[in-house]
Amino acid sequence: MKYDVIIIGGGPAGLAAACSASENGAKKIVIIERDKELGGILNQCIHNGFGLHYFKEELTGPEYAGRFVEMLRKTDVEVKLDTMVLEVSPDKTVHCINTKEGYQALEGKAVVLSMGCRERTRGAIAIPGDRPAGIFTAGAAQRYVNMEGWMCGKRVVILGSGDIGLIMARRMTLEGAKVLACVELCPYSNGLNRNIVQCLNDYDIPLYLSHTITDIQGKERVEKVVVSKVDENRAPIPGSEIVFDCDTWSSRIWRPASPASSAAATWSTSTTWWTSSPRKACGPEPPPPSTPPARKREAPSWR
Amino acid sequence: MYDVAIIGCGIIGAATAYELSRYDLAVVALEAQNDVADGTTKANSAILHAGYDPEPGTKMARLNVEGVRLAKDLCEKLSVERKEIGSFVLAFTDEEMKTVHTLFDRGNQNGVPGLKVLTGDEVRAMEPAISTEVVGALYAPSAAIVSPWEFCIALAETAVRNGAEVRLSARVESIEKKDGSFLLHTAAGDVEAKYVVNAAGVDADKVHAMVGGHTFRTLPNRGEYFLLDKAQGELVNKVVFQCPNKDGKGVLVAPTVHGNLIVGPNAEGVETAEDVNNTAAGLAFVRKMSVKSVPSVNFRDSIRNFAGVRANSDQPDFIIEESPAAKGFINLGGIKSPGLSSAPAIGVEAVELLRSCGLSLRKKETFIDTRKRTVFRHLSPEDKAKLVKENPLYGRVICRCETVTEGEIVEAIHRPIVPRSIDAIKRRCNAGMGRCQGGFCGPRVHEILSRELDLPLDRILMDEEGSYILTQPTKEGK
Ligand SMILES: Cc1cc2nc3c(=O)[nH]c(=O)nc-3n(C[C@H](O)[C@H](O)[C@H](O)COP(=O)(O)OP(=O)(O)OC[C@H]3O[C@@H](n4cnc5c(N)ncnc54)[C@H](O)[C@@H]3O)c2cc1C
Repeated sequence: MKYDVIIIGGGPAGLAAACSASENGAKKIVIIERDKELGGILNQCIHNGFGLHYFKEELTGPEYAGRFVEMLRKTDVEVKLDTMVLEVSPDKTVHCINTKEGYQALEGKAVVLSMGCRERTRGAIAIPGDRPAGIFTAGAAQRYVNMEGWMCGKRVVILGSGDIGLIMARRMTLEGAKVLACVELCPYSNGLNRNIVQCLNDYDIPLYLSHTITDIQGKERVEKVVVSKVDENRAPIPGSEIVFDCDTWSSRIWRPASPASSAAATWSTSTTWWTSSPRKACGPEPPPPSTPPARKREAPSWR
Repeated sequence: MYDVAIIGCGIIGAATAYELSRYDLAVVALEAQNDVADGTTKANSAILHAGYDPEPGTKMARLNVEGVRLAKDLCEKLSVERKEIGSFVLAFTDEEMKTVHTLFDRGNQNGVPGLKVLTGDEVRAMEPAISTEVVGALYAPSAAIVSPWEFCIALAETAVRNGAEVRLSARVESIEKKDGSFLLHTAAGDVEAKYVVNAAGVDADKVHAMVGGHTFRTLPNRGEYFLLDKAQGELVNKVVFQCPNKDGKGVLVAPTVHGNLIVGPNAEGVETAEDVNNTAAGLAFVRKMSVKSVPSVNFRDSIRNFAGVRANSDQPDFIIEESPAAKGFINLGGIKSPGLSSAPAIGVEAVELLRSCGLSLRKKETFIDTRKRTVFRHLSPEDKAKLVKENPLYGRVICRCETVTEGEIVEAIHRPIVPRSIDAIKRRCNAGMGRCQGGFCGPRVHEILSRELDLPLDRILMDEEGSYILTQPTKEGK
C-alpha cells in the first residue's frame, strides 16, 4: 500500500498534521493510532480549558479531540485504529499490526512521527524506599478513575503540581479520597493559577513548593511517604522531613516517546508526576491544556 | 503423603523440583509468596558467573562451573533468554592486578575455560567505554547473562508438566517430625512428606530451626541496583566487574538479556529478607563506583531501582547437607552468589543427597524436557504476519515499550503456574519492563488478568499478597 503521508499517532499533533496535509493537497493520507480511538492523551483529560486559542471556546479534552475528528471526517484521510507500528524502515516503510488486518507494510512518501510523550516513572527519578503497590503515574491513575470507574487510593500524595496533577487532586477529592499534599520540587508551580485556586485551595489541599519525596515506605502497599524540603540545588535538606500516612502517590513526568525506528523527530516536553497517595512532579510541565497543542507543535515530517 | 516436599520455590527450589520430576515420585514445592521466583531470584545481577571467584575445592567452585555448563543446554531447551557474552574483572592498580592473577589461577584450577589476562589497552580495544584508568583485566569468555526469574519459572513449569505440584501462598509455618515423615503446617493447609528439602533462601536458617537444627545462620546482605533504559543497553557488550573485595564481587556494569543496562550492587548487612528497600546512600555508592569502570554511564536514563538480599551465612561455603537434627531433611542453605549460576547443579546434587538418604529413584518413562514460549518481538516479519493471522490477539500490542502482545499475555496466564498479579505477568512476558515501567500497560494487563481469570478488577494484585491496586469504585463506577 502506498501513501503520500503516513502519520504515526492520532493525538492532537497527528490530527492537526492530517488536517493540514489534506488542506494542502496531499491525497492519500493515513493516521495510525494504537488506541481504540483518536485523540491521544486528550481522552483522559476530562477537565476543560482546551481549545481557547484554536476554537475560541473552552472544551474538555475529548470534546477538543472530537472537533478535530469532525474536521477529519470531511476529508479522505484513512484511519487505522488499534494499530501498532513496530518499525519504520529507512525507505519509509511503516510496519504495523492490528487484529483485523494483521501484519502490514505501508510505504509512505512522507512519514510524520507524532507519538506524543511518555510519563517518566519513579525509577527515572531515583527515589529511594520500598517498591509497594500504590504508586501510579498520572496517566495510569487517570485511566482507572476516569475510564475504568475505580479509585486507586484513599489517602493520596501527589508529586508535581502541573495542571494534570492539580486536576487529579480535585477529581480524587470529589471521589472521596483525601489528598494530603501536592508536592512540587520547583519553588513555583507549573500549573495555572486558576487550577491552584480551584483544585487545591478550594479543597484545603496544601501545596509544598521546593519539596520532594525522599522515601517511600510500605511493603505491599504504600503506607508512608516522606517529603523533604530542598535547597537551591534541589538537594533534600536533612531535618526537614514531613511524613504522610497514605496509600497512594502519583507522579507525572513526561518525556518524549521514541518511535520504533531510530529516526526519531520528537519535540521535547516536560515533566510532572503524581502518585495516588503521594504524587510528585518536577521540571517542565506537560503542555498546558489551554494552548492549542496541534497547530503550534506541528509534527515534523520525516525525510 | 508426598515423597518430597520442597520448601521455597526460588531458583534453587525450582531446580530441585525439576530434577526430581524426572523420577516416579510425588513432589510438592511449597512457596510462601503468590508466585515462584519472588525472592532473591528476582533481584540479583543475573550473571551466570564463569567460576573463577570461589576457592578451589569448595562446593561453590564445583557447582558454579558445573551449573553454568548445565544452564547452557537447559536455557536452550526451556526457552530461557541467555547470552554468553563474557566478562571482565578490571584492575585499576598493580595491587589489583595481583588479584586478577589470583583469579586467573583459581579459575584454571576450577576448570573455567578460555581465561585470559589482558592489558588495559587490550580491554579498551574490546570495550571502548571502559575507563582509561584501567591497567588490565581478567577476561572470561564463558560468563553469560540470563533472565533469572524466567529461568526459575521455566524450571518450575517443566516440573509441574512432569507431575510435580507447586503450591503458592503456602508459607511453611512449623514442622512436626513424625516417624519416617514430616508434617508441614502451611498457610494453605497441612502437607505430609517423607523427605523435606529446605530451599527457603534467606530464611533457610529459620526453616531449619523448625526441625530443631541450628548448624548455620543466614546473614542477610542487601545489594542495590539501577536499571537503565535501552538507550544505554549497548554501552558495554560484556559484564564489567571490578576486583572482588571482602563484601562481594564489587559494582558491575552489564547489559541485560532484555537489552537494558544493569548497574550495581553495593553490599550492606540488613535484618531480614524483606529489607529490599532502596536507600539514598546505597544508590549513591553504586553510582560513584560504577562510573569508575565506565565513566559514561548516563543515570538520567535510569528506569528503575531495585534491591535484592543475599543469603550470606556464617559458613564459607554453600550448605548442602542432610540436617544433623533430622534424618531425611536436606538443607540447601547459605546459597549466596553464585547461587543462580550453580542452581542447575545444586538441583542434581540435591537429588543425589536424597538418594543417599534412602529415597528410591526410578526414572519416568516419559519426561517432558522442552518448553515453548512465543516472543513476538523476536519473530521475523513473516512469522509475525502468520501468527497474527492465526490468532488476532497477537496483533494487539499491550506493552508498547517492549512490544508485548495480548496473545503472549494470554498464553502466559494459561501456563502451568498461573500468574495472578501484574508483576507476575511482567516476569513472564516482559510487559511493564520498559521505560514507562507499566505506566501505560499496567491498567491493560490488569484488565486482561481480570478477564482471563474471571476475577473482579479489585482482586488483581500488583505483586505480593496485600499489594492491592484499587480501593473502591468511583461514584459513577458503582
Ligand atoms: C544483590 C545480589 C546479586 C546476586 N548476583 C548473582 C549473580 O549475578 N549470579 C549468581 O549466580 N548469583 C547471584 N546472586 C545470588 C542468587 O541470586 C541467589 O543465590 C539465588 O537467587 C538463591 O535462590 P534461592 O532459591 O535459594 O532463594 P530465593 O529466590 O530467595 O527463594 C527462596 C524462596 O523461599 C521462600 N520461602 C522462604 N521461607 C519460606 C517458608 N517458610 N515457606 C515457604 N516458602 C518460603 C521465599 O518466599 C522464596 O521464594 C545474587 C544475589 C544478590 C542478593
